[in-house]
Amino acid sequence: MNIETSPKSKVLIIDDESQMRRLLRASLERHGYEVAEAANGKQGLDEAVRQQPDMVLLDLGLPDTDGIEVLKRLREWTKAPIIVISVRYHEDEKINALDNGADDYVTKPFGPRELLARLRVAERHRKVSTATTSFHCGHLSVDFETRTVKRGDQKIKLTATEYSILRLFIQHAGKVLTHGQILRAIWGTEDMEKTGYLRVYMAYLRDKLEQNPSEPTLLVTEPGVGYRLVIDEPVLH
Amino acid sequence: MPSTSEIVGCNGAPVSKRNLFAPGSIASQYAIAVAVVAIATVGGFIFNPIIGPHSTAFIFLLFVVALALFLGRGPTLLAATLSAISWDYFFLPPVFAFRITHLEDAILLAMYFVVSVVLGQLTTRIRRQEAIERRREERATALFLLTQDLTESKNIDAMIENAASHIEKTFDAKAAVLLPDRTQRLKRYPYPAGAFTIDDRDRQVAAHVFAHGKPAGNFTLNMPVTAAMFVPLATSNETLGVIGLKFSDSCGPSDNEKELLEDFNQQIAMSLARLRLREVSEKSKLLSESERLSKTLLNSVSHEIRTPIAAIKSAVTNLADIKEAPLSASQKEMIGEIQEATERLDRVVGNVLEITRLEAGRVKPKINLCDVRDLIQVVLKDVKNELSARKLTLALAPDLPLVQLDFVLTQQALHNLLSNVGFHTPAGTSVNVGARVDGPWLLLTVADSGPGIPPESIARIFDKFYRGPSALAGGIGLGLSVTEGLILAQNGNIQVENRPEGGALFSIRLPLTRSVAAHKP
Repeated sequence: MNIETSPKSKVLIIDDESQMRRLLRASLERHGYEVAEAANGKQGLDEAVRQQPDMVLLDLGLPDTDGIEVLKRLREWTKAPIIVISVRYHEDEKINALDNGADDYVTKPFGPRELLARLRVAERHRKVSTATTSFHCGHLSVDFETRTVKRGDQKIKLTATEYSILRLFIQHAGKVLTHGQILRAIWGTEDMEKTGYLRVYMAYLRDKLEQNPSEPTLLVTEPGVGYRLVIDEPVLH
Repeated sequence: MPSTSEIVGCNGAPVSKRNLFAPGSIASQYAIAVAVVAIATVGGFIFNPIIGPHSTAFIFLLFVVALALFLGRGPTLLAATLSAISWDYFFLPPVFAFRITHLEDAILLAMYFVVSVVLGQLTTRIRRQEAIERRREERATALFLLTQDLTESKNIDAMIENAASHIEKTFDAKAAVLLPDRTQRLKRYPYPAGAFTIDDRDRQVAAHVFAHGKPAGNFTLNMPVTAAMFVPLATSNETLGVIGLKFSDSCGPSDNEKELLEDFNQQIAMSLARLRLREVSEKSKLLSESERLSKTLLNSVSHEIRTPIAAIKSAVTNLADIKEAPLSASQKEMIGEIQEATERLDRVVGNVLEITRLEAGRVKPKINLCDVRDLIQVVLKDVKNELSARKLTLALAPDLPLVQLDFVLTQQALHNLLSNVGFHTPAGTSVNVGARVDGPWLLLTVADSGPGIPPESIARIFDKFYRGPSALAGGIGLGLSVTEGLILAQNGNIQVENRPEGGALFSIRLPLTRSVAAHKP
């Protein structure tokens, strides 16, 4: 639980509510983060350039610019994880933020613990090199060189599509993938009519990979948005 | 533009009491001509002994010219002829005989005749010119007044009102204005403006006029089966409606009136087209404006309320997390109370916002093929705490297909139902969640073994702000209304009943198949 990051990771908070900024700063600093603040979109973009934060917390409801616009502008030059915090709790807005490059999405009101957990996942993901050869998480282990997937000690046979989907999730472990993102990556289509395929494949994957397919803990559904591969204590080599 | 030449009057001449330009009938004009010549003759008898027969001719001439000022060409010609004969017979020697003894008298008589005829002709021509001028002016005035009132009309109703009253006044007729409804068929009833109430036959004729863009009915060549005349209200490219006229006398409109009517129609049609265009653009402006307003309102309200809740939640959690100075048991208890109250506040705010969105029709379902098992799993995970002390069983049909529904709305609905069960049933009771195909429906059921629902509440349980007589404190009676709204938005339905073995049974039905249009998110 208590993960001290060294050297300190710097988090930029872009939120127009000063109270929210104060509270976030308190939580983050107590957990060993360095904090920078910005009260609007323009200031946020300036601070991002000046401070070069490791992560960004972005509120979508900014007084001067639309948060999505800030997100797009940030994504033009930085790969730093961006977590959107917003009171806009509708799925379309979550999807919009994720499709525009947000790494995660937390809806206000949220507990600081939830946010910190998301931050840790995003941070870990940032440090992962893309050239991983294997993946272990809980009972699941995957060797990309030999294309072997194991649940515990048991070898699991996956079809080509199932394997590609799993690989995609592992590449984005801990991160929400929207239906659209998965459809584009696997089937190369934007056609939302094809979500049916995705549902079917997700059910297959759960049957094969989950300890208890009726209570998935690995591949969880993000209602109306997509799916997430949950990583508790992942070990990537 | 259809020509009014298809409209025929009962006679060609511009005469009728509506005709402002030619007073009196032909017969009375001839009678007047005869009478005036008789009067002139009497006058001649008085003045002849004094001034002599040659000067008496000038008295006759005076009367003929005076007549020409008021009568038509025929009566004037008659007056000229009669007066020449009368002068010759009564005054030119030898009197009381048509015989003319002197050549000079013969020349004088001939010249008198020619001069009186020419004078009569000239006067009539001037008068006719004048009448045409006057008619033109009257038409221009009538048109001007109409155009002015049409332009000043703020909306279509007022414009039609004005148009009808102008038509009724100018043509001395009862008018009816018929416009098409949304399905592009003429409305069954005419515009309330106008005094002419139409019957079934009129309606058929009007429909014919609307369909063919040509005048029909009385005084026209088409379908002269009704007492009224119907003319199309058309711009150069489309027929916008039909005007019906029931003239007060049995005579049809004069040529002049036909032309004027055509001008009227043109003006009215143009105004109508203009107002329609304006109405459409205003409507769309208004609609997008109100949409924007309600969206802004919802967003800012939800922002303004949720932000402080988020702050409370963060602050309380931070407080509980402080390790440097551990909290006492009673302090922790207080923090627990604050956290619980905050959660409840958040839930209530969420329900209020949700019901507002549902009622404003702002919830547009995103229908996708969904895995119902997955959906139920998500809900059960979310309500784990609320149902912690309940015995939970699942009854999912093994052959459940993927179903076209809105995942999030259905999930929220089921979540609300299960939270409700958790709230209203005592610990230790059981809850069963079921899913199966029932005819054309996906049937989702939530059955509990709690106290059930008081019979008097069953009918009103989904009403907004309704709280049953045995309702526990907390909750403002929105949860189930929201649930119903979420299901109705997807063309489904929700029912509740008490199970014979005790407890309540909620059944959600969602259509398995949807029209092609509903597939698009």
